[in-house]
Amino acid sequence: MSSVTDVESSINEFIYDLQRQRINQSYTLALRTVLLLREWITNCTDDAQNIDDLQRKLQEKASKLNNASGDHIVNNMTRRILRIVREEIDSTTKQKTTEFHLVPAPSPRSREGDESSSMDCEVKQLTGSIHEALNELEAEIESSSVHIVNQCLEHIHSAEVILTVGWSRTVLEFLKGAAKKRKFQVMVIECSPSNQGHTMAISLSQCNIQTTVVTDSAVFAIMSRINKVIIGTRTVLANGGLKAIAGSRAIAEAARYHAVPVIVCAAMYKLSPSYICPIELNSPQSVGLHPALGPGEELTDSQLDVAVESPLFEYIPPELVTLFITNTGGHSPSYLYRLLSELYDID
Amino acid sequence: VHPGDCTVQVHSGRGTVHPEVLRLGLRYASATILGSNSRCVALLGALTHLVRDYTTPADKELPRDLEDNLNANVAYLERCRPLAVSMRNAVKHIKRYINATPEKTPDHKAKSDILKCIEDYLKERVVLAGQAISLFAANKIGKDDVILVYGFSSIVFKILIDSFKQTRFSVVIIDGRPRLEGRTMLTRLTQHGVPCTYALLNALPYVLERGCVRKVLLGAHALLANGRVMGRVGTALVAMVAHARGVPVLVCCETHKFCERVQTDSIVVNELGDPLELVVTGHGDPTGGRLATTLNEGKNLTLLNLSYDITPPEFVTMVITELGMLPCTSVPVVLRVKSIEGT
Repeated sequence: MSSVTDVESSINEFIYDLQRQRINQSYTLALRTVLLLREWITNCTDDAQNIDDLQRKLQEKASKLNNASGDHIVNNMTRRILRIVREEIDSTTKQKTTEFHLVPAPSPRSREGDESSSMDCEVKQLTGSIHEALNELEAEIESSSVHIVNQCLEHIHSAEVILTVGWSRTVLEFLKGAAKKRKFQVMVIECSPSNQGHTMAISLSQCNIQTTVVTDSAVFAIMSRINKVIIGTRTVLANGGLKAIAGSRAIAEAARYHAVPVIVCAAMYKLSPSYICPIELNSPQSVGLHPALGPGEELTDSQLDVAVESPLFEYIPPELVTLFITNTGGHSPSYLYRLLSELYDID
Repeated sequence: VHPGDCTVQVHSGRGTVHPEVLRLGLRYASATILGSNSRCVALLGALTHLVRDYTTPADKELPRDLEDNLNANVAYLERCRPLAVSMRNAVKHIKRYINATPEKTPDHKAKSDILKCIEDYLKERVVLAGQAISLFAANKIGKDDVILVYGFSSIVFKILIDSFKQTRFSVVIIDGRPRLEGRTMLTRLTQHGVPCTYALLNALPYVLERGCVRKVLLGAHALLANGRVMGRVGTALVAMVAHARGVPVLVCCETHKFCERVQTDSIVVNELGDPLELVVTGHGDPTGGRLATTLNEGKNLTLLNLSYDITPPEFVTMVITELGMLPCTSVPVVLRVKSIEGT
């Protein structure tokens, strides 16, 4: 069992990493948030007076984490944890009130003893059940990729040409899963300046998938040969829109012109309860910046006044997406708002 | 011939290849000369030398023999790099003129007439046409406009420089790998003091929305008879994204690039560049050099480097030619009129 100081210091380390944007993978972000908050709830809440106090402390911790990270994933996870905590509170308080009426053998401690000790064990019982629920959440996150991959054969046919863009762990697993049973071809858009597509292409080719690397400029040219576009995303917004890697919007529009379905593979921990206005999404704070010119490439003196634009992400409206494949199954973009009510509270 | 590999068989068929044409072929193959207009102008220069140095053999007629010689030289150039549409049209024009040489014309007169034909073609179809297009386009560029351009196009560059002398505007340059021709445009425009923003293709929707782009100016490699625009790969993407946001797309193209070919997609007829151009070394490479090694292992991985793509006419607002502003679909009309005129 980790001590209070250990847990606090790991949380501080996490906040430090978030502020410096050291963690890029969504899976790692989600998992670490859940694990850290679970440890914190289990170990650091011994001084909580009552359930409300526990909730308040948790909310403080959560908002610290949210403020440190500009990403939606941390926010999603903290809101889910808060929802889980509220559900557990509701179920234990309901149990407490119903004990007097229905349950034949109530636990002796809850009826006898003084207020503070009964409150104490309430909190302990609560943290115990929260711990269980968070274990389930952790398992859900860890297995989300497996559930997505299990659906791969329903969507990929033999001899198809699939288009994907940049690097996505989920899409890689999806295509690898399909390649075990079906023979198809993948074209990867390299997505400069980060050129993440090169890494994706190498990984795909090592799984015996016939892969071609294509430049961003050739997207419209080759789209007439593509059967399906399968992409990953950073975040799924509440209206079914995406915050995905820059370059995906042009691909989605080209796919719409050529009537090619666009399939997005995203785990449910990426579904965010926020609606974001596209104008806001296009601000430099949300899109992030990537150097378009590396340090080895110099501009001449006369070019010192040149502005270089290089967003990391962009907004894709829900009309351009055909299908979401998530760990809970396939959903159309118009259905996602219903899933939100199951996962998140109106905060 | 693979662009990286400049060994070409020179003596083949009838006639030998002129040294100027030989040099030209190597410059094409090594991508020293890029761009439809530049390649056409360079070709006309080499053909001038060819005609000037040509002497009719004793037992042959000038028109026939010169045409055979020309064909042999053009076949060599085709092997160095497939001919551009502008080059093909120029060669066709010259051949038609040579064939129309009246009989019994003395050689020196025939040659000087042919040289004049080449010179006129260059002057009218390329230089004056460029100036006319620049004048038409200047009407479309307003004060404080933000104009988006893609890569490098000689005619678009000319329009921007000429207009900048009268109006202040700013330019957004979109660039695409692997050629990164937009950097040439950036360097040249900033030397003339034009305020520029530079971005790669992935930033296109972002730049269009945030930068309040007023219009898009694109160059073209050729205009096809079914109204489609053949341009540097990426042009279709730029036109589509701009059109989806209601930004007018103006394509600038001289009539000597109009061609009777028809195409519906970009894949059936295209030119493949050197796939190794896609391999990045150094900073921009996230794979740490593994791409090249995986390629060498020859397992399931290929690189595709397309040169051109076809833009559908619905994305293009209008085409600016030396005959005026035309819709894309007017190409066959222009071709027909020109063929009737016999020019």
